[in-house]
Amino acid sequence: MNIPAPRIGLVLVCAVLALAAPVLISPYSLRVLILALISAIAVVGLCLAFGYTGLIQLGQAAFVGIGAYTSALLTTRLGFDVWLALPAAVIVSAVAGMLIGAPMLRLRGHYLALATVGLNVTMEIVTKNWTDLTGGDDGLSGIPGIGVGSFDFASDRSFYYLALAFLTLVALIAAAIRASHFGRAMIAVRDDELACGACGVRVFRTKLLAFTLASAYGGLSGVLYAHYSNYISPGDFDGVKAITLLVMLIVGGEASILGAIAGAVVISFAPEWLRFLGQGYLTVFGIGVVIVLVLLPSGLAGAARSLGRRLPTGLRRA
Amino acid sequence: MAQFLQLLINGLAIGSIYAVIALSFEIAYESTGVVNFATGQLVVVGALVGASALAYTHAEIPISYGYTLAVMALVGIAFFVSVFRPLNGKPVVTIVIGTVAIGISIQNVSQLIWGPLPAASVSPVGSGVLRTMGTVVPDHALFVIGVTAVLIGCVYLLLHRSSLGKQFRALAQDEEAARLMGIRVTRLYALTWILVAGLAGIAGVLLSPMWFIDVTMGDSLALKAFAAAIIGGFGSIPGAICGGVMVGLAEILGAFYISSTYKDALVFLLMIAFLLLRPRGLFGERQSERG
Amino acid sequence: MTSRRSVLKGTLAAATLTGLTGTRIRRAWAADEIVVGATVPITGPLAASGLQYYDALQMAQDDINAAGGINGKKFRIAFEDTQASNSIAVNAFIKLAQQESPPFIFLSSYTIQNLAVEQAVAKAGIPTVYAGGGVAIAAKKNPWMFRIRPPDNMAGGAIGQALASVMKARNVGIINVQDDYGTASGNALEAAVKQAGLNVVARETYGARDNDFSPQLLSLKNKGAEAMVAFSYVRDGALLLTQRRGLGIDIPLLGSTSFVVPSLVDLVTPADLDGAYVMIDAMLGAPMGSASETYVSRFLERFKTRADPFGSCYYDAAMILADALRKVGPDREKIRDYFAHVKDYKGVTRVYSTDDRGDMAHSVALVKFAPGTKDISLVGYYPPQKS
Repeated sequence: MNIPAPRIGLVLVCAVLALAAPVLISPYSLRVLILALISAIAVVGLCLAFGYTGLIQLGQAAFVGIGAYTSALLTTRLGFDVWLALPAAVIVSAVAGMLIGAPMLRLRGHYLALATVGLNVTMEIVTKNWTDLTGGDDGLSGIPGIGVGSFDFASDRSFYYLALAFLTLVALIAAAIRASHFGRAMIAVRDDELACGACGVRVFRTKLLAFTLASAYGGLSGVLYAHYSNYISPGDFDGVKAITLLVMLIVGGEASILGAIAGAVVISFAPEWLRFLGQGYLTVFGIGVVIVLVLLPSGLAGAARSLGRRLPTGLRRA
Repeated sequence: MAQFLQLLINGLAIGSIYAVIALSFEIAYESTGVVNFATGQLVVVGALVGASALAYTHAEIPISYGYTLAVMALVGIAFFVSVFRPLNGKPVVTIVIGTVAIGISIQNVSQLIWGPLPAASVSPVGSGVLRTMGTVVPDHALFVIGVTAVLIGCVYLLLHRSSLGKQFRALAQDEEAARLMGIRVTRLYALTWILVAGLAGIAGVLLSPMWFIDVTMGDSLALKAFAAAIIGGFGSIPGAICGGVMVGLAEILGAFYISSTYKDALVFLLMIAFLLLRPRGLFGERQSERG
Repeated sequence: MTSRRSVLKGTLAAATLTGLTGTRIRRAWAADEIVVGATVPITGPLAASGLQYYDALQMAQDDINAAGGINGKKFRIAFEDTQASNSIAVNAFIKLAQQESPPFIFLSSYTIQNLAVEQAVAKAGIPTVYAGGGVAIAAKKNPWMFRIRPPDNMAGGAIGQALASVMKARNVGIINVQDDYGTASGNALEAAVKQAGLNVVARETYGARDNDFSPQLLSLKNKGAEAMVAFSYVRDGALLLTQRRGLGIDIPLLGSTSFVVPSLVDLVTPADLDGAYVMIDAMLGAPMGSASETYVSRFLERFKTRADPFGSCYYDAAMILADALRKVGPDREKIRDYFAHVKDYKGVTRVYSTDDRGDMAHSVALVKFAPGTKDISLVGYYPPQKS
C-alpha cells in the first residue's frame, strides 16, 4: 500500500496539532476534547457498520453502555485490574453485537432502523430495573481510573494522550480493514446487496462481522468513558446519545475514518460554540444538521475531498 | 370483570390515539418515502396549540379546534418546504437523521414558546365520568374512541374511495409515472404533509386532556407509534388501527395482569418479536427485493 | 491528493483549535465583587424544576446586594446549564471551578447529577450545597457537600406515622415512579410502614414518561388498600390525581412534595384534590413565619409564579452562604466548616442544623387540601417542631 507523500504531510500536521493540543487549549476545552475522542472511537465503529456496510444503526449507544457497565462491574465488584477488564468488556460488547445482530440483521432499511431504536429502549429498561446488577438509576460510582504500574492517568492531560493513543490505534485498524478484502466486501454489500450476493459475497456474514466490529468499538468507547468519568448511569447511554453518535458520523462524512473523528470533535464542541444562543441552541443545532445533510451529503470529509478535486489540474499530481 | 372493562376501555382509548399517530407516520412513509422521526413532536405541537387556543378563547371548542387544524396545516406545509423538498430522494438514513434533527428543533422551539411545564386542557365533553355496569369510565375516553373511529373512517374513504386518494396511491407507487400521468406531484406532496401534520395534531388535541402534554413527550409517543406501525404493518390502514389498539391494550392490560414495571418492555418485546418473525406485521407489505 | 489539500485540512484543524482556545481566557473577578457558581438545569426537560431555583437564586443575589453585599463587595452568582445529562452537569461544575475559581458552588437538585459530580467536587475542594434526595450521596461522606433538603428516606418514617395516626389506615398501597427517587422512597416507606405495624398490600410502579395509571390504581384498589402513598413528580402526580377520580377510586391518597408544586396544582381541579394529603418538604408562607410570607409574595410578584420549597431552600442556602462570606471571607475551607456547623438557622423554608452526614434539613410536614379548594392546611410536622 503506497501512501502519497502529501497525505503523509497531512497526517503529520494533524499529529503535531493533536499532540500539542493540551498546551494550546484551555483546561475546560481539553476535557471536552477528551470526551470527543472517546466518542470518536464509537463513531469510527459506526463508520464500519454504517459508512462502509450501510447498516442503519440507531442504537450504538447501547453497546457503549454494555462496554462501560461491564468494565465498571468487573473493576468495582470483582476487583479486576483495569487492563484485564478492558479487553474483557470489549469482547463482551462484541459478543453482544454478534448475538443481537444475528437475528436483527435479516432486516433492512427502516425496519432495521426501528429495531435498533428498540435496542436503545431495551438497554434503558434493563439498566434502570436490573438494580442488583447495574445499580439502577443510582448508577455505578467509584469506578477506578486507568494506570500503568505506578503511573496513573489521573490528570486530564495524561488521559488525553491515552485516549488519543487508543483512538489512533483503532483508526489504524479500521483503515486496515477498509483496505482489506473484507473492506471491499463491506462496501460492495452497501452499494448493491443483491448483486454482490449473486457474485458470491457472503452478504449476511459480512454484515454480521461489520456489526460485531462496530459493537466492539462501541464497547471500547464505553470502557474509556467509564474510567474517565468514574461514574456511569443509565442516562449516559440513552437514545439521545445514540442519535448524537450517528449525527457525528453523518456530519463528519459517513464513509471516512478521519471524517468520523472530525464529526465527533465538531459535534462535541457545537454546544460550546452555540452557547451564546442560550435556550434556543437546540433549534439552531437541529436546523444546522439538516443544512449539513442537504448541502454536504458526504459530510465535512466529502466537502474537503471535493474542494481538493476542484483545484486546477496543474496543481494536482496525476 | 368491572375492572377488566375499565382497563379495556382505557386501553382502547389510548390505542385509538396511538393508531392515529401511527397513521400519520405511515401515510408519511407510504406517500412520500419519509420515515418521519419527528412525528412525536408534531403531536406535541398540536396538543400545545390546542391547549393555548382553549385557554385563550376560554374553552370555545369549535374555534379552538378549527384554529389548531389551521395551524397544523401550516406546520405541514412548512415541513414540506423545509424538510421534505430538500431531502427528497436522498438515502434513507439521511432522511431519518434529517427528521430526527428537525424533531429536536421543533421540540426546542416548542419549549421556547410554551415553556417546559405541562399544559392543562379540557375535553369537549367535560371531565365527567360515566357509571355503568359497575365500572366508572371517563367521558373523554368514550369521546376519543368515537372520534378516532370516525376520523380513521374518513381517512380510509379519502384514500380508497376518492379520486384524490387514487392520486395519493399512484404517487406512492411511482413518482415518475405519476408525474407522467399528469398528476400535480408537488401539490399532492404538500397535501400529503398537511394530512400528516393534521392527523398528528388531532391526536395531540385528543391526548392533552388525558395526559397533560409537555414538550418532552414527543419521543416516547413516537416510539409507541413505531411499535404500532411495525405490529400492524406498514402501508395499511387496518394495520395502523390494529397495531395502535394492540399497543394500547398491551400497555394497559399488561401493566395490570403481568407487571407494571416492565410494561414498556412488553410492548417492545412484542415489536421485536414481530420484526423477527413477521416483519411485515399483521397487514403490511411484503419486504421484497428488486434487482 | 495534493499538498494544497493537506494544508487545507491542517488549516481546518488549526481553525478548530483556535476556536477552542477562545474559551481559554479565565475571567478574573472584578476587584469589588465576590463570585460564586451555580449549576442549574436551565434548558432541557429538567428546566421545569430548575427554573424555580434559578429564580430563587437570582432573588437571593439581589437581596444580598440590596443589604449591602458582602462587606461592601458585590455578590454575583455565575450560572452554568446542566441540562439533563450527567456529563454536562460535571462539565458545568468543572467549567465554573476553573473559570471563576469560586469559593462556593450551588449544585443541582438531581441525585444522579450530584452523584456524578461528587468526585469532581472532592478533587476541586470547593464547598457545595445540593438538593438531590438520594441517600447514596451522603453515603459518600464527601466533606464538601451539604444537602439542603430532607433526604428521600426521611419521608418514609414520617409517612408511616401519619398513616397510622392521622389517616388511620391499616392496609397501605404504594405507587412510585421507577427511578432513583421513587424506588428509594418506596423502599424506605415499605420498611417504615411495616415498622409502624401496618400492612403493605400492594406495591405498584410506573415509568416516568407513562401516561395511564388505571392498571396500577385499579390494582391498588383491588388488593384492598385503605390508603395509597404516591412518590411522583409533577405531570405524573397530576395524572394520578385526575385518573383516580376518573376511575371512581375513593381511597385517600398521600403524595410527595410535588403535589403542592404550583405547576401541578394548576393542572388539576379541586375535585381531583379531594382526599389528598401531602407530605411536603416544607410549608412556605404563614406557618413558617412572616419572612416566609414575604418571600412568597415577593416571588409571586417578581416571577409571576408561586414559590415552591424546592426553590426556596436554595434561597436559604444563599443566605447562609452570605452570612458565611461576611464572617469568614471567601475561604473555601472556612466556608466548608461554617456550613458543617450550622445550628438552628431559620430560613424561609425551615429550620436548618447540619449533622455529621452533611444533611442540613431534618423535618417534613403533612398537609391536606381543604375540600373544594386548592388551598393547603397544615396537619402536623414530623418530627414535631418547636418552631
